[in-house]
Amino acid sequence: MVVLSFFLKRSYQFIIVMLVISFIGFSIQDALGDPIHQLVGESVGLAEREKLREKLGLNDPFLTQYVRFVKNALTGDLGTSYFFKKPVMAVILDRFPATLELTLAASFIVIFLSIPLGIYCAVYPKHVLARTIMTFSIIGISMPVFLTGILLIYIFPVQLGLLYSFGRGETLMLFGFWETNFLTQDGLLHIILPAISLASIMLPLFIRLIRGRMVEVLSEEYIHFAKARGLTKNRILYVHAFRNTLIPIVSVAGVQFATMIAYTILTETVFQWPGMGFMFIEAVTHSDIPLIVAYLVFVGFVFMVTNTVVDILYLMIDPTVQLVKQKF
Amino acid sequence: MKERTFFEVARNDYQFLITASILILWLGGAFLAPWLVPQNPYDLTSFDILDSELPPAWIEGGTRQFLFGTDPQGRDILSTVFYGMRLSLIISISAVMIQLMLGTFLGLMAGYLGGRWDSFIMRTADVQLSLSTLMLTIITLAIIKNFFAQEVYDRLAIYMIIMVIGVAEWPQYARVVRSGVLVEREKEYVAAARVVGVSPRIILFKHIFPNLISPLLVIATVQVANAIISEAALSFLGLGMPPTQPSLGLLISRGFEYIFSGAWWITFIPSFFLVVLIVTINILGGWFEDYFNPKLYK
Repeated sequence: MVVLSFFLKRSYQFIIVMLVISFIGFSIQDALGDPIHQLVGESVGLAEREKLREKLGLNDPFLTQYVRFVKNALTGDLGTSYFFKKPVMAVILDRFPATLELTLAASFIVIFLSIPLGIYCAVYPKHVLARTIMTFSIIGISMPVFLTGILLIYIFPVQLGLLYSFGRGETLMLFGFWETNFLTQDGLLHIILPAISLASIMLPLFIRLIRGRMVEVLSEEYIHFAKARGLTKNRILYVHAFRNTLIPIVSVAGVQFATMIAYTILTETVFQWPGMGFMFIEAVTHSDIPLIVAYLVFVGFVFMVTNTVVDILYLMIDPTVQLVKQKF
Repeated sequence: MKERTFFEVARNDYQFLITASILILWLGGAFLAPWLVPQNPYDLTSFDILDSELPPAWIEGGTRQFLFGTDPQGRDILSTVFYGMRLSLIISISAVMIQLMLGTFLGLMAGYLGGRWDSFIMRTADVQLSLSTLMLTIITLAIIKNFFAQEVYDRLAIYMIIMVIGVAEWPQYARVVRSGVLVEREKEYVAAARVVGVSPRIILFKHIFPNLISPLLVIATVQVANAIISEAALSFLGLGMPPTQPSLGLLISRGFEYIFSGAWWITFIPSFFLVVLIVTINILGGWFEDYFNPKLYK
């Protein structure tokens, strides 16, 4: 029952937000893009243009056009890119794997470094290494992600001649539509620097978060009890204590995963990584309105899906979680 | 235990003193830039293309005239950096003012009016927070940029950036203020004021609000650092300041291509000033948090 009302509430929120985003998107397209001009250019006369406008339904009332926009969007049709002369969804889906793989690679780095480092800093707060990590985490938070990228490019490809400063390198085609970096050596070498710089924005945050939660958990009674039972230190830390730090972290992780997609715009621009973010900046330079609008709608959709998935994960980890928020 | 004042605590904390001095130096340099630096980088007649890409003075080939070297147009980097920092600070501080006013106002309203208004304001805040502010600012500016002709946009850019960064970050303030109002209004002093017959509006603004100032100050400090990063990111992407008025982000962005030919100073000197500025503000923010130890209402 509770689960059902959770899903109803979620889908309701999902639909509202997507409608608002698509409405904003459509208004932008209506105000900025003149598809006739893009279709026929300067050479066609006024009467011809008017005929075409009528035929395409561009003289219909705003709301009628909006409804048509939503209907088309539901079938995956968000218009045609001015610059690429292809359906915008095709352009975006073409670039999507690059962005997703970059985000995944960065997430792996964050997960595999932040958990041990965060726990270490919580267990030995006075140790030199812990202090160094905490100092670096302040600098890490203060370092804009594009700057980390530039610094990495200067150190590795420019000075040392190692790794690569732009592009995806050699990729492997999977299932006929998914180009992957993870299966070729060249692809893996290309993804390292962009992934590190994207990870650098989240890593300090997660180290601090895990450390903070871990310090709290370690002072709780069941930890003392576990020590008294003679369990090994590693078992207490990684099994008993860490599990309870996980819950708040998952909810932050969900929001941050979405934020990372935003940061891919910066990372991809620095490394000329052919993903959605780089494409978006190109679209802005070319005033490619349908592509800008499609990106807006697509990213809104990805954010909403991520948030829903995180809520479900939350539910699986913590059975006591309140599904439907109670009013004050 | 006798409570120590802010300055008594600060005087004995070396880390604080060092950080604060660096920050004051940076702020002083930025705001006094027009009187301090040798060149006006906005004035095209003040520099010479023959001086282009000179390295900093301490490296071979550098001259004493240009302490931090010059950029490809022959501009003195010391001058562009200080002017750029001035712009970055003006933008971020103005943006934080807007965040503060908007967030506090909406938070007070949500806490005070309750009911429908409360849930509407807070739901909007939730949605906005879940959409990532960086994404919102980038997309909004991208769209605004397409509305205007390039030269009009260049003229208005500074106001647009302030508005967009200002509006994008209000939810954090609103959350803290709203939950602060909810906690404070249950306290005895509010009950006492109500019994005496003080009007709800006066209770809200004169009695409750002063208790929320220290958590707001803590958030605002860190937000100045975040606003500087946002502005730099927007300018880096070409959505921010125009080339005629380069902020730190734009300076870094324009120097980027020259690192491949070895002219690292064009991009890394503005970067150094930017990072030091942000680090000091963040450390100071953490310090305020420890000192005021505000009950960060959640």
